[in-house]
Amino acid sequence: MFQNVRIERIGEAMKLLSRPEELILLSIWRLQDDAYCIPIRSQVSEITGEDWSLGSVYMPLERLTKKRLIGSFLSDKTPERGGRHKRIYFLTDDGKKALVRIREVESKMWDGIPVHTLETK
Amino acid sequence: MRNNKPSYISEFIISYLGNKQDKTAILGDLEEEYNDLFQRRGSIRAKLWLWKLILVSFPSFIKDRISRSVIMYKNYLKIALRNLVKHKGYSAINIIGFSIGMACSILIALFIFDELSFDRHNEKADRIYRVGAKFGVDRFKIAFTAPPMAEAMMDDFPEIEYAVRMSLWPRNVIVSNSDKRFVEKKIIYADSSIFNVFTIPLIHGDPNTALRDPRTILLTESIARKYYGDQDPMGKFLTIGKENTPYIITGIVKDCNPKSHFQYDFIVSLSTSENSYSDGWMGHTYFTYIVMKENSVPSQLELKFPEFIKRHYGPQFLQKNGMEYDEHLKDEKNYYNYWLQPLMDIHLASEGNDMLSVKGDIFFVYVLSIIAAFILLIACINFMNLSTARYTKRSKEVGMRKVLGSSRRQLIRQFITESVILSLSSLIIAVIFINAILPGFNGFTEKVLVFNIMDNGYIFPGLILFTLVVGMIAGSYPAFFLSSFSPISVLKGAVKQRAGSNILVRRILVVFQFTISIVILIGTFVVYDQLTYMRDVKLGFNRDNIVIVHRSRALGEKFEAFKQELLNSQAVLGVSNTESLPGRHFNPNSHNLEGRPKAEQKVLWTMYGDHEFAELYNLQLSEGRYFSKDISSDQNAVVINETAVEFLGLTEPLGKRFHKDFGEYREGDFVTVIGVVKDINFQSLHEEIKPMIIRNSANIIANYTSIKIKGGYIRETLSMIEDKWNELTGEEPFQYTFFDDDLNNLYRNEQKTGSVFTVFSALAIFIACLGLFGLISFNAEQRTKEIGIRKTLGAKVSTIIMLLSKEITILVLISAVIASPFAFFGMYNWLQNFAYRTSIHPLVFLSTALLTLLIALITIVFQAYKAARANPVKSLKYE
Repeated sequence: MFQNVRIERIGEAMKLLSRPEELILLSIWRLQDDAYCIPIRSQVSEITGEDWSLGSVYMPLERLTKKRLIGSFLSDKTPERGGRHKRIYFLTDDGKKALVRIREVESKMWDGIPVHTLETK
Repeated sequence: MRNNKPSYISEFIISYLGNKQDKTAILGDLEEEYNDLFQRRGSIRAKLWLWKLILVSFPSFIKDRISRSVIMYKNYLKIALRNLVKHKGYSAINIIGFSIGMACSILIALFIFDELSFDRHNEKADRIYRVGAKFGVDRFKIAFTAPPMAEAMMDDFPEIEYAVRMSLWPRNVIVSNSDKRFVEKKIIYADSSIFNVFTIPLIHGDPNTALRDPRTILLTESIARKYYGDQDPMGKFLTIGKENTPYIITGIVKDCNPKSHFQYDFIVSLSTSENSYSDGWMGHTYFTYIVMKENSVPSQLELKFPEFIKRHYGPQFLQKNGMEYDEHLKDEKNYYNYWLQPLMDIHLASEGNDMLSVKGDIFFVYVLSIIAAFILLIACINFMNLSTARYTKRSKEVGMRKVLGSSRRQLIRQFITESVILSLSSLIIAVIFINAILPGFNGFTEKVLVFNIMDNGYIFPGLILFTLVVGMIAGSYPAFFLSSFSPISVLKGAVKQRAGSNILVRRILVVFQFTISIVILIGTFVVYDQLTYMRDVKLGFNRDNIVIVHRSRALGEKFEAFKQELLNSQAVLGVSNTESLPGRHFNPNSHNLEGRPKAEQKVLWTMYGDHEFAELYNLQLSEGRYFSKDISSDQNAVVINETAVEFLGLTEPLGKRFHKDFGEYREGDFVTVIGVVKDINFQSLHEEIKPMIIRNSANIIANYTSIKIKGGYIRETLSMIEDKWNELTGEEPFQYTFFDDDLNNLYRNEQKTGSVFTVFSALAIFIACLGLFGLISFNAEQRTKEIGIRKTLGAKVSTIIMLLSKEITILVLISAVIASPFAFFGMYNWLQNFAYRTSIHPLVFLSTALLTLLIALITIVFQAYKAARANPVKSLKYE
């Protein structure tokens, strides 16, 4: 099943990611073995409540691949897709580190801010 | 779950737009998404969504795919232009060669399209056929058929939609109305169904009735203006010749299309002619055109012809000859049948010759197109040779580009771009060139060709396409050669790596160029040889200083007075009145010898001549005597030629008698052979000498008057003749030709071929020599140092010139050897068109080889001399 794996070499240190990139990165992690474009899109759309177009998923995926935070491989052909491959994404070590970093940065930023003070009437 | 697929077309577009590496995965995603949307929101939503995606992705596609290649081409263009400007001489050679070659090909293409477009303006052109007859063992084809045939065919064959009979007014004639009179040439007779067959737009008049009644006539617009100015000619009367009854004008037609194979200014109703009611099946008098119904097959119609002929002609034959037609047909030499000729073939076909047509010459068309292609090829070879010869100059650039990541394909593109730029700039010059020489070309080909780029939508794209193709052919070999260098060796300086094979190819190409040039040159020589031969061949009659006055029948009874007046002049040596002349049309008529059965009639080519004819034209008699004025019985005398004696199988021709009438035989009415003339070539030299008979025209005033004039007095005498003519005839127009010119006109096609060969062989050699000039200049430049060293070591100027020209000499000689057999077979075939032909002299091959060599040497010797004379001190200092 893991033929055609694109082995990405560990790239430079993590840079700050844009929000869509971050969300998609997370989504890939959540979906694990089923992380290809369609479920990623529907998951992100569902959680954010906005309709994400295919293009708005492809572009971040491409950028993340370039930054070597994710890798991908082609799955076997599936009949329901007209006999075509899926491109399945997975997190690289850098990707995983990046998620952890984001989480850290985020929680540090939130540290000491009570959420209820942000609520408006 | 049902699987809904997006439409194929959208998939195709997406796969084309998409990024190549991940195509299948993306298509898969799209299809899955589409399917999902289809399930949830229906097909329309899904489709809309898909097409929106496609539209949105277009702009970035354009940016990605196109702009990048444009940037590359911009660079190619810049480098190409720099190279053009930097090497001006070399660019000039290429551009001159290309533009001459392209101008030739475009002109010839115009000519050929014009030739091929004859008669296509008729709406039913693809269904119109001309019916002709063919005879005898060798199936001799003529385009004439019998009067009742058209109607019988309409009755018998349901697949024929319309049929029309046409014929030609036999000679020039005066047409007059109450106040104007002109000599007219183009009068045709036609049935009123002509409008159903051909597309002839009537401006005034009713197509159904215009040509129905006898004595009706149609004029073309310009003729109507010529006779009536601004007045309405409808219903007015015209008189033709000396006829008493005038013709009533029942319609005006548009001017005749110059691309129609028959030309007319007047159309007279065929019902005017008595003969059109004839029921005789053996008189071949009319051209018959039929329109086949859609989807009917002409070859199947042809199969029904023999039965048709037997049905209609059989009874007539039986009655006349007392013999069953079937019996008659058993002898192969009595073969007789009809044949169909497609309308659009008539102009260029060689068979079924007739006087109605404007004839094209298919041979001429072939020769022209082949020559044009070859000249263009010679120009392309110049480009190939010069660019590969200069490869050292470009090799560093190629190496550098390769090092910087250029692929071989890109380099090929670059070099082809360069040659295409050259050919495009040549196109502009060629267009200017064509516009300059088109009037001359038109005069020469007797056509009205127009070259206007905006004329129709095809010309401009056609020219561009043509130019691109030329550029690509020329650029192909250099591009592959130049892009093949390995960057390492090139940058190290080892550029000689592939020089060996390159030089060989270049030599082969030079040999090819000169082979073509020499073949065309040999062609020129042979054509001119044949023309000279035809001029000098012993025709058997005198051709000099004879003026022919046409339409002398107009003199009527005043002819004798005219003749006497002329003979009174010192300068006039003789006057003879004849129907037909050597080189003009002789009528083939059936003759029957006294005492032989009717079925044994023979065709002799007939002319009528008076008693002066033999003397004036210097005919030699081999037996007997010619007509004499003083012997009254000579009115029923004839003279035949030697071929006729042999043809009729006579041993003692003198005193033999023929039935006087051609068709019917009244007993006791005979003409007697009183002399035999030596054979003369009374027709064109394309034909063998035919059996000829001269009948005495003493009692009639015939159409042509030949006047022999003392050399040197021609001009004065001519004006004297005209004065006398006007004095005696009143207002009859005076028409004359020189006999010599008339004869030469028989060979107009050959003269045309001759001039074409001359022009094109000159061009071919010129372009080939341009290439040589470029090569030798480059060669001398390359060897500057070598020459310097040789000179320091004591080489003479002549030795160095020899050194530089040796190669070219050998190449030209090889070309001559290769060219000779090709030229020989080509010209040998051409000469088969003539019954009387010159032989191809071996000296022709030798002299063309030497001539070409001489031209080539003149081209290179100047450059070689310059190189050889250069001061060795300077050349050794160079670099």
